[in-house]
Amino acid sequence: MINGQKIWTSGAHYSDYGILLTRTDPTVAKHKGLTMFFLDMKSPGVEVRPIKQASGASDFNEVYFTDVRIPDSQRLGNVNDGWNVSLTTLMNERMSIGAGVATGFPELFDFCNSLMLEDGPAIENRAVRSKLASWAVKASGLKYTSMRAISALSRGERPGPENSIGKLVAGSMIQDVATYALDLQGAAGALSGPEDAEVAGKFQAMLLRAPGTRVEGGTDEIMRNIIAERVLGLPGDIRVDKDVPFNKIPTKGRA
Amino acid sequence: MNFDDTAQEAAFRAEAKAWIGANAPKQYEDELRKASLGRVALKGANILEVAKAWQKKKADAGWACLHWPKEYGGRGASPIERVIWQQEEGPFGRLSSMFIIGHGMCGPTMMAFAGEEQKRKYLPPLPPARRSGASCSPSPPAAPTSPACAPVPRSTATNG
Repeated sequence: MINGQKIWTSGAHYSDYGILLTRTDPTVAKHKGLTMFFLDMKSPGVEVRPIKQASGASDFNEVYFTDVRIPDSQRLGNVNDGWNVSLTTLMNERMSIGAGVATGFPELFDFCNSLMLEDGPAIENRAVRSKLASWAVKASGLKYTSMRAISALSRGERPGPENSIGKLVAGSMIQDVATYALDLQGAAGALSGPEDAEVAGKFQAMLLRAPGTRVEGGTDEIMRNIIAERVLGLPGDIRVDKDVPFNKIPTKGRA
Repeated sequence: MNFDDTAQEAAFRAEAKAWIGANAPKQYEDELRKASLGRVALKGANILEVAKAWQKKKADAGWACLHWPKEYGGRGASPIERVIWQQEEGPFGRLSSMFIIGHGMCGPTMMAFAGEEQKRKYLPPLPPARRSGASCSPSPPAAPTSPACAPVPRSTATNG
């Protein structure tokens, strides 16, 4: 019997099945009392509520579980071993490196090639060219980092935690690129509808979506921890609640 | 570092390219190519339907879930072949974004931990997108933060 709620469930509105990590023992440390199940998303007691994003889209949901019954035959892994099971889930996600990460650079480069500023084409403006050059260097760095991972795959090796760098760099870059593209548009950057904006609101949509990149799949802070601890071998971050039973973790300033 | 394909990789790339060239929904190529982060939509078409049709076509020809074993509807391809496929699929790959969680996370978790009977029942409908999956787990990568889903008892429900 499951009760609870999970926010930011991508695609739950068109999903038939879900996998679900539940807390089955709150008296042990937080990563020890979890159990994984799979379930039919149409099960009685499952309610999917869409989240409306700043961009107007609804790609994510908040899912509520009220007295949802899941048979033990749908348990994945051992009771209270859900953390290990979820590591399998997450490792698989990290293997999907593929075609590289979005940086916004190709879009910005195209835009600057067609944009006219007061004193001529944007692409001939020294300030614009300087910005483009910096981002071109960063985009190339990302491209070849990803090529290095692909070469490792080609040799039959598994890409390691160093691949956390891609999303970390690209996430803030795409935000900066989209902001700059809007700055270049001046007053036209503040659009009232996609039809009225330069290149049909492309950079506005990018700007509104970009912060999500820095959160999803591990926040910037988590990526930095991974790089610090597992790539550079720096001492681990302080984790004060690592060994505290889940139900003893303070949730208020003062008891 | 050598970024060139091996002979075997080049043969795979040529085969993938030829199949995509002959089968991809080219009427949407321009729109998909222009789609940027935060906005993948098609004018005058339901993207979920277009995506499901492309997914089914790929599955029927053995080009869906390349990294999955054949017995569960995949191709049993190597990781590098999967990368080559993604490069060749290009903008059409954006159609697969709504199946990433089912194919990339839920399916492989089921493969590792479900019983054989369950795997045979629940996995094969995923590659052709007859069914799709969502993950109510903490977002990747592994971060020992608060529990994501359905904490028990109910009074301790938290965000994930």
